[in-house]
Amino acid sequence: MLKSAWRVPFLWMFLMCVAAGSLSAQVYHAPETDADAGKAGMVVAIDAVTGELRQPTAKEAAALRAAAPPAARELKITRTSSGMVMIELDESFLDYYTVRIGDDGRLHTACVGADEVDTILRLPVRATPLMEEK
Amino acid sequence: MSQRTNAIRFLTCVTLASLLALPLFGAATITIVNGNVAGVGFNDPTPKAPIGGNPGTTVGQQRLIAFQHAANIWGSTLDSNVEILVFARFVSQTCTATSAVLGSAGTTFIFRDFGSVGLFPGIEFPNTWYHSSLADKRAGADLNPGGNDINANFNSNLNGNPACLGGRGWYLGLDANHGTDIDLIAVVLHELGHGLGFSQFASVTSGAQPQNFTDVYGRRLLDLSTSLTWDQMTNAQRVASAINSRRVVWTGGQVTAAIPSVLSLGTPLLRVNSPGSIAGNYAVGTAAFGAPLSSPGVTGNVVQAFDVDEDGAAAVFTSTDGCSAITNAVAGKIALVDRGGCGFVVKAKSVQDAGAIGLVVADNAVGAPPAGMAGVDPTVVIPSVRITLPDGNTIKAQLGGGVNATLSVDTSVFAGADSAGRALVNAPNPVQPGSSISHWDPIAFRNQLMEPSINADLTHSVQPPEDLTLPLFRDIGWFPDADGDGLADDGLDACVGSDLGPTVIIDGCDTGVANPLFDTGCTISDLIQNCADGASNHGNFVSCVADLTNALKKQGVISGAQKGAIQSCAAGSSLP
Repeated sequence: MLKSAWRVPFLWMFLMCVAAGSLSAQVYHAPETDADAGKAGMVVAIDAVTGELRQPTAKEAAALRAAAPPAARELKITRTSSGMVMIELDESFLDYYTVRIGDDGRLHTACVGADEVDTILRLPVRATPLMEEK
Repeated sequence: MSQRTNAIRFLTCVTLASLLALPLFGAATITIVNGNVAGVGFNDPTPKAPIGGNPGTTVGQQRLIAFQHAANIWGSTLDSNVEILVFARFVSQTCTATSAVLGSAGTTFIFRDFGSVGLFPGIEFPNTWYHSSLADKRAGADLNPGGNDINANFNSNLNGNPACLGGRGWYLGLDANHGTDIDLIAVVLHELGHGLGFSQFASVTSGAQPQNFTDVYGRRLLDLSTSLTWDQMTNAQRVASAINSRRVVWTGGQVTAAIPSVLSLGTPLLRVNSPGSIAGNYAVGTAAFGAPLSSPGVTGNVVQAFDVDEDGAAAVFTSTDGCSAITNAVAGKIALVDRGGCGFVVKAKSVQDAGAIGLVVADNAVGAPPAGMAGVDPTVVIPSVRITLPDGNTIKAQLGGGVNATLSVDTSVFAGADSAGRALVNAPNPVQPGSSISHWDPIAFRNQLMEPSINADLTHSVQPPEDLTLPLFRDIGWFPDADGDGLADDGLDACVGSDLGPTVIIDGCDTGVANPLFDTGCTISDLIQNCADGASNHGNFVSCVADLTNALKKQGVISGAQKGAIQSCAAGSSLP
């Protein structure tokens, strides 16, 4: 594997470059995203059934977000003097894979954004979901 | 083995010294960072019998082994000298008796305008966002040392609990023999695919981009209506493009080249033959009744069919819905009616009874791609298709001058590609954030890993001839090819920065000899340059070129006269 042979010296060289420049961190106001949810690792919910801590659902996260001050939605942006820019994305940028059992008993999967999760989970699935009678 | 390959193998031996400096070909190490605490998730100690090649003996072990197996599939396919860190957890997520969140994943960071070390290429485009792992790969260094590259969460509730999907759970075997359970490896492959680069960052509902900069994925997205790529669009244009169903394609050459080996030929279409102003292929929904579409299909003039507006107020019925007997001449023609008022099969029967040879139903509401048409009537024998509202309006506007069309399965168009052979990107209307644009169009067949839904027939392959994901990764720069010879600089290309000139030119002397590209990514000019680079004096250089050309002639690559021309130019040069 290349990693052991190449990564260490290159990483050292890169870090030297970074060290030579200055790192600055600031907050970035995220554009409207397709899927706004709570920040990664920052928010938990208590499951109403089990009482256990769990990740909030997308709907719960959206409600938390709505209740949070605007600053809570800011993403961290880092710039180096070399011109590199890095943005740390939150969980609103994740793709969610969902599954529903259709009226044919089969599993129907769909990959959607966080805001769509609750909506799609509520939708019934017909055996021929893309067919309409009229 | 080709003659050229034999030749280049020999040549590779004689130029071995100069080839030692070539970049090495490797894979990528994808490491799963276990984000679970003791006793849960990947650390769940519940005993479990080994299954499907997964040797783990606890639930946690099997989850981790299956997850790592999926990561290794990607790792063996990609190439990076920087370890890719995937922070992964199994956590409790939504699951009811009929629905569940399976998991989620995405890149943790995006980078733009980064540098690189050594011979690594760095950015391909300025002011363009790259996924973390791709940025690291191109930089040749970890741009965010210690930071994870991908974040992934999977649902721990799919464990056989009857309250969760009726007891269906993750299949943790490695052999895709998942039966009615959910194949964890397929889902992980898909989600990691997003994290590694199969996604874009502009909002499909507002069009806004992070800091108003495009991403490397968006640069390959072409809207066929505007002829603009996503990086060239305004926010409003991106919003419109996101719902421009079947008219957003992937322009990357690697995917396009792979399509014939991956997708099947045959796409149901309405082809307008004339007038020229609207000629072309239109997406259709097919019917469960009547004659199935075929090739060459049914061709005829299109005419609007009229009937009685049953309620007289166009409230439920209209005079163009085909819900009752047709009142104008449609015999021998393709009848066009509007959706609404009655079942599709009723419309088909109405126009068939009036002598139509085919039916086109124009939608009465915005939505795309056009859905299929259900219904049963064994007496209907003509073919029927459904088109979108805008397409219907386009055709209607030209009916006065005559429209000729064909209803068929176009066997020249790949299922999942446009007529130019470019892959269709998912752009449903209404928009589906998270699904729109960041997947292939689900019309693709064979079924693809990066469609919005995982199909049961998926293998665990991510590359041709089964899958188009790896070619897409090539298109976004996972395998840089600076000299454009089709071989990745850090993979198969033995001559990075090839001289691809049409003839062999030595120090300004044009030999007139063709300069072919060998399978290794080297040309004759490259090999002569290798001689120059490795020679300590002119005599050594001329001798090396003599050995080279003798070998080329022996292999039949060049003639004796061509050998002489090259050696003459070499002797007359001032190289090295």
